[in-house]
Amino acid sequence: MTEASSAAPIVRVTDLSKTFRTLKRKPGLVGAIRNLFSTDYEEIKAVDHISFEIAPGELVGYIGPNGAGKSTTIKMLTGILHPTAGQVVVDGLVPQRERVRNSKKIGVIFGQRTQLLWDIPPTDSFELMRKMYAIPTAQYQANLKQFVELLALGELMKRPVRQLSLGQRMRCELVASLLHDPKIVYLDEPTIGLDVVAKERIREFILHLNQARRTTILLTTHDLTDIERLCRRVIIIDKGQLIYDGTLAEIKRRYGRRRRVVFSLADGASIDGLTTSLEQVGPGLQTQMRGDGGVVVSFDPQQVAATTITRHIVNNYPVADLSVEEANLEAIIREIYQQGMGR
Amino acid sequence: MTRVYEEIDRQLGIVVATVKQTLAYRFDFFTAILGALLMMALLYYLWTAIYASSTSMAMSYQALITYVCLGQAFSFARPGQRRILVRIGAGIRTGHVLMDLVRPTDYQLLTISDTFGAFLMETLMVSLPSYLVALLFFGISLPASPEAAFGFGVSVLGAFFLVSSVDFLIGLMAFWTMNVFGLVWGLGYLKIAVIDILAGTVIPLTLFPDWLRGIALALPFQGMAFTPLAIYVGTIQGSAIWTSILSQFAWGVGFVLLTRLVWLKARRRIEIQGG
Repeated sequence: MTEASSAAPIVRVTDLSKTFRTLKRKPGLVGAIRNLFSTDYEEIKAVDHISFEIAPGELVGYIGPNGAGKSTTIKMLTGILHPTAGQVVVDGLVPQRERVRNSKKIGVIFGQRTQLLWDIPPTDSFELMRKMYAIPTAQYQANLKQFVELLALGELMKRPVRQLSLGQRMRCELVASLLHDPKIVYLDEPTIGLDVVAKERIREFILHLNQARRTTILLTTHDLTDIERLCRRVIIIDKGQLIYDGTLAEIKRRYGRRRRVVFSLADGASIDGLTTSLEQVGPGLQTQMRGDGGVVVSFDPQQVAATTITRHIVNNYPVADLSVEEANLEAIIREIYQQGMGR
Repeated sequence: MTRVYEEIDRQLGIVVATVKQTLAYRFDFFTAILGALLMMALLYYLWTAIYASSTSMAMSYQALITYVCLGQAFSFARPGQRRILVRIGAGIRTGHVLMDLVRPTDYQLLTISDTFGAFLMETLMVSLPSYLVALLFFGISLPASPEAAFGFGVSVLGAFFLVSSVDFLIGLMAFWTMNVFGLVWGLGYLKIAVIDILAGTVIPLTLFPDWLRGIALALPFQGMAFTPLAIYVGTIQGSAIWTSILSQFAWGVGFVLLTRLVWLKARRRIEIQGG
């Protein structure tokens, strides 16, 4: 993937913005009637001057809290939405200007929607895709055979889509959007609502797609395990603005400095004055009580040594259990979402 | 040339997909036939009674009965013939339209091909069986002439094209207002009223008062029902058959062109609901 990043970008997003104008809706019955005549619009900046590039063969995680503008960006990348300002270039094309040509090169999955024909077996949807993308028969059959094997579709192929479980359906969605060998694939929450086993299967498949087929992938998700398993690079956006673009390792290095001491006390022990007494151990300590009676102390190892804290706790309280933890990605991202980065 | 082939193949693929989907709910055909037959019976007895009590009428009893029964067999006011409105309306309301818009084909073409599959199945599974029942039990006539039979067939296609182009235009309005319930479905019901009355399904335009007939014949809606039915019974005959079919298609093309203009504007405004 390092050699990929030096190649000319396959996706280039330049100063992209999208503003929606929506009617300010007033609540209640009177409000509803007023809405009929209202011209009171409010502008929402869904995407606000975002720029990034993706090199061929990269697998990039595109994350952010709900409503951050992830899906809106993807809709602009596919050519469906027109930017209010800025530009998108995908493999040399401006998708808005050459939507049809662009659509043949891309595959899209919106995890919350289905592209499969609901009342009939997935095979019929695949057949439709064959015609839709004018896929040569040999290519179609080879791809289908491989995908069916990788995703263990076998039996599912004959059942109407409406009878499939979410995980089974999502596997079929992947097939439907990949049969035409797209160069670039946008996966918008492909693991949403799936159980751990189903998620893992999807992840393995995505990884295969990226590594064996060299497909460029932009992945949005709320499951950070997806990101840790799949992506080296992450783009984080919030409120329409780009707040981080870099490697996962860098995030951990930069923002994951804080580590945690987690401990619980022996039955009946009092935790009175714990917070105050810990604050005297060193600067920048944060104490949090957990619902199960555990206590979490987060600290910056450059300011206080873990041993200083643990020694203080063990010497002053009847400890039942104690451990020191690295900050995990979820904690880091939670902090980033909550505070914004340096904003 | 290969691109044209590809596009034809693509649209055929969409038609076939719809055919498969409609076949998943075969029971719907029976209810649709039943509905058509009930309406047929209602109109049959109604017009028989009206005919018995009137002194003069511009149509013969036999032609009149044939016309109204045939009108129910081949009706574009049936729920099954509303696929474009449902697809666009539901698509916009749920955001599913997204999946139609990422396809390497024209959205209008896609929806019309999709609805054509449903139209084919309705014709085969609902219209023709209802028609046969009408022939056998309501004693309606066969086509006035071989030319009338052929003209009727072409004209039904013309009616399909006209109805679809208007439906798509109505559906597009939802991209502006996002008001699917009021606009698209409301206008969908208005469309049924228009087809039943202004297009002359329930009352043949021939029997309209002069001034109203003048208006109805100047409007495009006659092409949605009156044209094929009048050709069948021989009210429209000779070269008029072909000029009236031409007029159906001309209106259809006109609506498609208008739609292209609207669509060019609509596309920039598209907002898609939900994550």
